[in-house]
Amino acid sequence: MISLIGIELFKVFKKPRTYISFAAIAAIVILIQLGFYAEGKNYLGFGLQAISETFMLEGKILNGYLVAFIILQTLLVHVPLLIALVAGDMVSGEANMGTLRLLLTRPVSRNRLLLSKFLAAMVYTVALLLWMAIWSLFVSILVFGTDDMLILKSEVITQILERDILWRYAAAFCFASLAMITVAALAFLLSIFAENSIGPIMTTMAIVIVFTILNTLNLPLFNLVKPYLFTTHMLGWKGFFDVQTNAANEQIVGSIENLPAVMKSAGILSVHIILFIGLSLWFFRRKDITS
Amino acid sequence: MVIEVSGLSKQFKGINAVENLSFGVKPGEVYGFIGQNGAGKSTTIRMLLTLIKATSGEIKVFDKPLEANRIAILRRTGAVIEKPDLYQYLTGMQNLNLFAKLNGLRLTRKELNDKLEEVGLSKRGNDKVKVYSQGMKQRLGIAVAIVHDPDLIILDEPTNGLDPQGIVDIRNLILHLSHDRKKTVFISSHLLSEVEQIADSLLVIDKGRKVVEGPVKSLIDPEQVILELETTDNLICFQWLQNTQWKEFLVQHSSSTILMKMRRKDIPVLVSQIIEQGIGILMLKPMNALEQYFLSLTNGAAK
Repeated sequence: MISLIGIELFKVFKKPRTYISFAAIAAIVILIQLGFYAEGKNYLGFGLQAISETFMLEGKILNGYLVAFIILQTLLVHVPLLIALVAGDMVSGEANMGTLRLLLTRPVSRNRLLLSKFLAAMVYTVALLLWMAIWSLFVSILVFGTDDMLILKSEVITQILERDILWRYAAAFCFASLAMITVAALAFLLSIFAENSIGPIMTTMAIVIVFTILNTLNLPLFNLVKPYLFTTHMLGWKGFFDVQTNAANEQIVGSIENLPAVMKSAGILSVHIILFIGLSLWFFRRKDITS
Repeated sequence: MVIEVSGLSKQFKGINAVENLSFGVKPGEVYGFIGQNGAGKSTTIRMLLTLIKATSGEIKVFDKPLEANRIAILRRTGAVIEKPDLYQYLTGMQNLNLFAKLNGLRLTRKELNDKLEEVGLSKRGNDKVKVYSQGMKQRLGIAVAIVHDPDLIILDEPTNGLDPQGIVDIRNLILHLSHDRKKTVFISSHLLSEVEQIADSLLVIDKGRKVVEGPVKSLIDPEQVILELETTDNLICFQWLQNTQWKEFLVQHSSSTILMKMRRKDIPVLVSQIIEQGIGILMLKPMNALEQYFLSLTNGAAK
């Protein structure tokens, strides 16, 4: 199985299109960092105008942690497209090239072949998020330095102590990986039925967009299904940046405000992954390879 | 038998692609599988390779039921199906290595080069497949098919799209595999002339059904000919033939020609008897090339 995964990874990382995603993420992150480097203080000053009249703000507000948080908020919404670009091509791309039939004439079971393909797509997804972490977090830390992090929400400001931040990012990236693997699993399932990669990629994006729109519409009919849509839970990584406070309104180090909600979201995403991959296996085992 | 097929059928959305097909391939022979485009050759080959599930029927390979022994059988089988589609963005050697690994082989660079040498590609092994000619791709496809030294090699239209030299190269390669390496080769083609020169046995199919099967020598008996006949009045001639001893030799007729399968030495007698009936002969064409035989058989079955 490891050998099969190695073969699939070799193919994925030999394809030029794989690097489009890595280049796009690096380019976008650098652009945002450049923007903050040039105009960040004005931008933050405007955002904190109301608070600074009441509170004395000390220290480096515009620091690497905050920039990374803003980048993640902006970018993670668009990453599904980059994930679908590769995951949606895993089977359909082979069908299109005609290599699928050649692969299936080798002494390898269909289940193992498909699982190795999915695991390769998973590795790609995690690698892409790791790449994103390096650029958005570590490069931002290098450029902007570190300090406590202030997160502005509509009604509250959360302050997270500097020593309590890095693990939250690690957890957030793990959660984001789970969310993106869900998207990868969906694109992968759709790629079973197609003979070119455009269909699965576009359909995956269409599903993500439609579900996201449903999430924003506050209608009773949609409210019934929202808890079960994977898109509802994809932004669960933000939960790691909601902290608990004690009676003196001080942050409790290492706390998460609503851990059960984060765990529930992770659970629902995991169920989606299992469902999508289970269906992929079921259909692929029965599929006539006519391409 | 290396391959034993009985009562094999495949339906796609109610349409019979292959219907009640039975045949057997003996060890060490080159077995030609002939049919026009759309006759059901590729569907049959895909069923032999478990790419497509049969609607009914049984396939045994190496005396074992295919479905239950898929992995073990594929370990001893190599195949090129239609176009030799390989990974265009990889080099020839990377492609070969990748498929060797899928067969559980760990080959050194030298071993891979030797495999490429066998198909005449050792000097181009480091080039990406996207710059290969059709002939080179076909040869690399065969190298991929035989990289694990299989006992059975299945080649679906291996000379498609090749220039005359490419066709000769592939033909020689197949003969080398059969004669020198004692492999069983199952080769399909829509061009009988390509297969008749190398095959030991032939199976002709049309519209998914078997038309004829047998050793090539018996199918191309030089004394047996297909006679294509055009007369001044084909209908009258045909009606007369039906009422004589020639009736059993009739294969097919149309407004333009009459086809008869008969012994070459009987032709002068037939001609004189037709003329005695007052029917003029416009064209008389004895055909013994297997290609024409194949065409007449498949057309005959279609009628």
